[in-house]
Amino acid sequence: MGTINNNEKLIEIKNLKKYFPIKEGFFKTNHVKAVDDVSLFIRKGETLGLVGESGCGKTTLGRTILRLHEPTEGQIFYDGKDITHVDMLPYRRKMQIIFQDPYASLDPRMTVGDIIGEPLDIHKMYSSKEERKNKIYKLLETVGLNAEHANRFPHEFSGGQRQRIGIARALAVEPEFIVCDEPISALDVSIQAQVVNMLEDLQAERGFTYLFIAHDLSVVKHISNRIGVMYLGHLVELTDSRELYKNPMHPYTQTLLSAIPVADPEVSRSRKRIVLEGDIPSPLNPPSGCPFRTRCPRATEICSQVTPELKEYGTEHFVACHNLEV
Amino acid sequence: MAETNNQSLLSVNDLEVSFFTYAGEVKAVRKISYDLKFGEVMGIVGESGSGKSVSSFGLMGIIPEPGKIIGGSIVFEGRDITKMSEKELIKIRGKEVSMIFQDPMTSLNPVFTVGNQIDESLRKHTELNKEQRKERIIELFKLVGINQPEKRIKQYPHEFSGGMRQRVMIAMALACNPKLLIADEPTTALDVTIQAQILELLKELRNKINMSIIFITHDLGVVSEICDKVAVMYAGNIIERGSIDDIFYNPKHPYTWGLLKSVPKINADEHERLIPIEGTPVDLINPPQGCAFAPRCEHCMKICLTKKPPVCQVGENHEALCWLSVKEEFEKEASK
Ligand SMILES: Nc1ncnc2c1ncn2[C@@H]1O[C@H](COP(=O)(O)OP(=O)(O)OP(=O)(O)O)[C@@H](O)[C@H]1O
Ligand SMILES: Nc1ncnc2c1ncn2[C@@H]1O[C@H](COP(=O)(O)OP(=O)(O)O)[C@@H](O)[C@H]1O
Ligand code: SF4
Ligand code: SF4
Ligand SMILES: [Mg+2]
Ligand SMILES: [Mg+2]
Repeated sequence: MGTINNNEKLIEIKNLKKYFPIKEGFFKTNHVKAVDDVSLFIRKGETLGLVGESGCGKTTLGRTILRLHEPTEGQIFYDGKDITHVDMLPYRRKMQIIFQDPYASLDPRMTVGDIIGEPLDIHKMYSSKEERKNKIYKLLETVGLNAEHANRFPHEFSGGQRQRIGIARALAVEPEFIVCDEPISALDVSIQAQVVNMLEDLQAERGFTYLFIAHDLSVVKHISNRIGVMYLGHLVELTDSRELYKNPMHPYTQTLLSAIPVADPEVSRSRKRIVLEGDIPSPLNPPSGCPFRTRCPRATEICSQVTPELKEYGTEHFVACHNLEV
Repeated sequence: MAETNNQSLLSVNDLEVSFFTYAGEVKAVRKISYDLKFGEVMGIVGESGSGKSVSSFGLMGIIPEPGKIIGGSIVFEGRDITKMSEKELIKIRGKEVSMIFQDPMTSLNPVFTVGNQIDESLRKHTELNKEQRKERIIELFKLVGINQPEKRIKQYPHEFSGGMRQRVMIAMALACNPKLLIADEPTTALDVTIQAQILELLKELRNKINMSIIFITHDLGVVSEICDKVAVMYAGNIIERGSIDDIFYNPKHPYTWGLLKSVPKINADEHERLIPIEGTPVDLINPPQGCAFAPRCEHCMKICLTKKPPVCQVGENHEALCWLSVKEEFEKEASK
């Protein structure tokens, strides 16, 4: 969990949309509304968690903030400056990403040293070969590997070690903001804890700001200051991570929390589950009105007509729903 | 713990499986034993590569090349599966024992309708005629919660979502009323709300048709939700087994301790630092001479480095493979 020293926003997005065109036949083009009208901010030094089911738009949101995808509509601010349309080169250094799949995200033909050195080359961050080498060794040490590993290839490492290489590469350019896209999902539980602790230690040392994407709510709750819940491209709830767990307000968040298996037999035996009917609708053909209405136990007439807006209830507890139990 | 109870459906004794690769013999399963009663759900947990899948493939008689069962027995309803011919195995596979695989796409054939694929298994294992088989398939689809079964059986696997495909797989596995269902990470690839649906379904089926289930997973939460008992695997051994209450509230093996401490508790009020299990998994071509967990174990003693720990009874139906459990005894022995 990050330490926030002042209330300054590092990242802010306003009404961000990302639609992907899909060709359907010769003349017709449809759109996948991967991210649909999302607004949020992340404070300096904060970890904002993002949860939601597969395909709900978490990765797309993270990548659009970094402008690895061009936004369809809306605005992105970095440290108060509108970066929606600017040349990203000066910002690339400050904004990094760690990927989900430690197997696929590293070039198998490059040595670990060159994988970590590449961003140093791109941003010309050394004045001699010697300095480059030392920087790489230092980075390897930072992530719990050592200098000898620099000459090896990715396939010689375990999943957890490869994820460390990915993290070292992201750290190379001394970023301020890091999108962690499911950085531990592909790892075994015992290794997950090692990586989570490392991300926390790095944040404490260097004041990083994280957008931490995952579908495992217990890990997200552990690492995040606040959590946003996404469903079909929409942000449906956003609040402090403990508040979200204690007082989930959106019907989807309530379901999600009750569906998480808890590693405690007493709790498993006694608690009541909300089991949803049906599958997540296709983002090619989202329901009218509220995106959750096809599975929502509380849906009424208005839900199919009007898309609920994110509104504040109490302090910094944002929910998008017409029929809250308040 | 080998009970000679007539209620016992399955008893695995000292099962050993190795893969003979050109790098050497991979000792994937190293003498494991457990038993399972009718209607019982057993979880198998452990990190990747610990032998969960391979040990269960043995129950279906489908150890992939270059693997071999090199020792032990698998007694299913009084008969040893390891001694059966392929012809006898075919009669059991899919009928008495069925398996759900982690990735449904690898076990569903994309060029046949899902109805066709279930029909095939019914034709092989039952005497039902065409009409009866169709009725049975529709009944199965209803059982696993697939709406509009008449329409859905005519569709192809790619026309189903991930969760729906997993239901088709379950319907297929249940077609001949198996006595034992082996579910290999059936929900790992699914989202939590869909996972919750599948877990509820499996619980219901166990109660309805008294089916026994072996549930392979790396998620301790899932174990707590659905299992009666658990076997924890490490480096090809079952290092601890017992009821879920034994394992969650009174674990005896240092690896189990580590596993439980390394996952964040969703109900924690304060931020508690996670305690990872340091070190890396074992090389199964050259496993350590003594306890396989010794290089990562905080409690490692001298004896652990040289001698394999014995299976220790640490409670009723609760066993641990660890020298700590018999520390007093061997210390007494040594001081003599
Ligand atoms: N390049 C693309 N072209 C077309 N559609 C895309 C593209 N990238 C993502 N999508 C679609 O956008 C939606 C959101 O995708 P995204 O990858 O952000 O989901 P996610 O929440 O990260 O899911 P997961 O947890 O499975 O990674 C999905 O329906 C996906 O199929
Ligand atoms: N086809 C194979 N050839 C060689 N080794 C294998 C093969 N399949 C599995 N193994 C080895 O057997 C061990 C146990 O594998 P597995 O049971 O699949 O692990 P888990 O299911 O627990 O992830 C691993 O060391 C794995 O590398
Ligand atoms: S707006 Fe309606 S459909 Fe959407 S979550 Fe609220 S009650 Fe359910
Ligand atoms: S036998 Fe020794 S090394 Fe192995 S788990 Fe027990 S204490 Fe640790
Ligand atoms: Mg993703
Ligand atoms: Mg497996």
